[in-house]
Amino acid sequence: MRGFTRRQWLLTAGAGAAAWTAGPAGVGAVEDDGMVRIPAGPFAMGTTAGEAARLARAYGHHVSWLSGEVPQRTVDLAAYRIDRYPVTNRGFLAFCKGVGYGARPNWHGAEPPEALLDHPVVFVNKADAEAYAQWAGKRLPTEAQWEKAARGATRRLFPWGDEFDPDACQWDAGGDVGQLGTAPVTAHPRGASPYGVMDLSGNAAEWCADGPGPGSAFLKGGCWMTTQPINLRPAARNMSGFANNASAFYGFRCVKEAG
Amino acid sequence: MRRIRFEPAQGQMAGSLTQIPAFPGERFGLGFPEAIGDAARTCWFGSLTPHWEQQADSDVWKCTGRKEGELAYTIVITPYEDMVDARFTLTNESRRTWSHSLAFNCFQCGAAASVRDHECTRHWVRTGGAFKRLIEVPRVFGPRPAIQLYSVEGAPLGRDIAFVAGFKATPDVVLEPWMAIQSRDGKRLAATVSMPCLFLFQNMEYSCIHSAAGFGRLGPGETGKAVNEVYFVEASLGDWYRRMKADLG
Repeated sequence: MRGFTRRQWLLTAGAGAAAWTAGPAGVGAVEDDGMVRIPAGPFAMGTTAGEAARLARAYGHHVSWLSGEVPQRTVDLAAYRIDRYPVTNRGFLAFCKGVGYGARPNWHGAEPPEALLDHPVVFVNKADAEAYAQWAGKRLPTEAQWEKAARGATRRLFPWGDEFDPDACQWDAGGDVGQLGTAPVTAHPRGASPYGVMDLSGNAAEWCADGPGPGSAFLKGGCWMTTQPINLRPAARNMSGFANNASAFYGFRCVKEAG
Repeated sequence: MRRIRFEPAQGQMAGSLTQIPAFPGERFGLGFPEAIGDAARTCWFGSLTPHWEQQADSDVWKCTGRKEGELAYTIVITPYEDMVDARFTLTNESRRTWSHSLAFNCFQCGAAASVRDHECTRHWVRTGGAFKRLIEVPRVFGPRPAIQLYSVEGAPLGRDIAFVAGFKATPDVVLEPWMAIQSRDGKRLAATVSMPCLFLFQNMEYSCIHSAAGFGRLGPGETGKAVNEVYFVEASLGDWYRRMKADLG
């Protein structure tokens, strides 16, 4: 991809991890509440027409399949904080117990199976995600906030760099059966974004506060069922769906004012 | 060879298919129909309470549905070894003339792990005399990006059908009236085709495909007929295509 050698790519991938362990002035540092501070400033959101054409050729798509993310535009955001990891079953359970909210369909009765506690909560629609966020004193990210947390100001294709790394996220790498479901949100440390935000590509696609039309909302990052790296890019939008739907591959994380 | 098992959801516009020789252990859903009637004012899933009745000493089921003063319909579903034949009648009981009428038939593959394809990389269609993967066909980024509708040969363009135009997601492309999903192992196909067909639809959220049956223009009191075949075959795309064309004459 983009002419990177393997060595260059390794360095690119490593840059993400370095940024959150030693970020300047608190940027990318994980705070006590498990959130990461994203600095104010502009970033390049979406995809250029030229890059869309290149990706479409590389992955055998008609270029119109990338039309939703074109053109690339500069978006200037105020500082904010975002959850380092997606909301887990453990976190959603605390919410359910706190307010009497309903269990998820993949739980065993009122609680998730022990093995899924640290997996992203799924079977949540946008309203479920918003209810949790309100309880937690947070809100859902806008698509721009989500994408900036994933790509930083680098225009990188994936959170960890420009080249796809099959071990950096929970995705369906192929075969006759494929992945069997979600993974713990900490399972792919190589997937760190430039700010150290984790698990943005794959695992559970994540609801955003805004959407392309009435009743629909952006769902970002692809999921454990995604088979094509092109659909694991933070800029991708095609999975965005009907906000009332909850599925086995929809989850979320939250944001908060920078304070 | 044993037949596919169809099990209706009594009182609902839906049923499920199991015991499919080509897809052992898998379950598929039929939202037959997910919507029906006047293409400008369809009756959606849940707005009718149809009655399903098994026909004597057979695997055949008959469904009757009605909305007073609007429409009445019947479906006869006959399972075979590798396909399910659904024959529809639709009667316009309103005082309006329907310019276009339809049965928006959902073939739900999302519960079948060996088939489901939420990215459309194994979805196949045919246009201009060539098979195409759906990702090779133009799409429109609409207000619900996970869905897409397609005009089909022999039917009005999607933009001229109220039901289709309302979704604002119809690319300028005309397909043959079927859509198929190849299994992950590449050896099997699940496919839907209707005759006459009004348009095609797919939803990446559910990995469902629709070949919407069209009944044409129906005046008050008039009845139209249509057929929707659902296939489960262990065959190449080309072999299935030739068989399907022969089946539909």
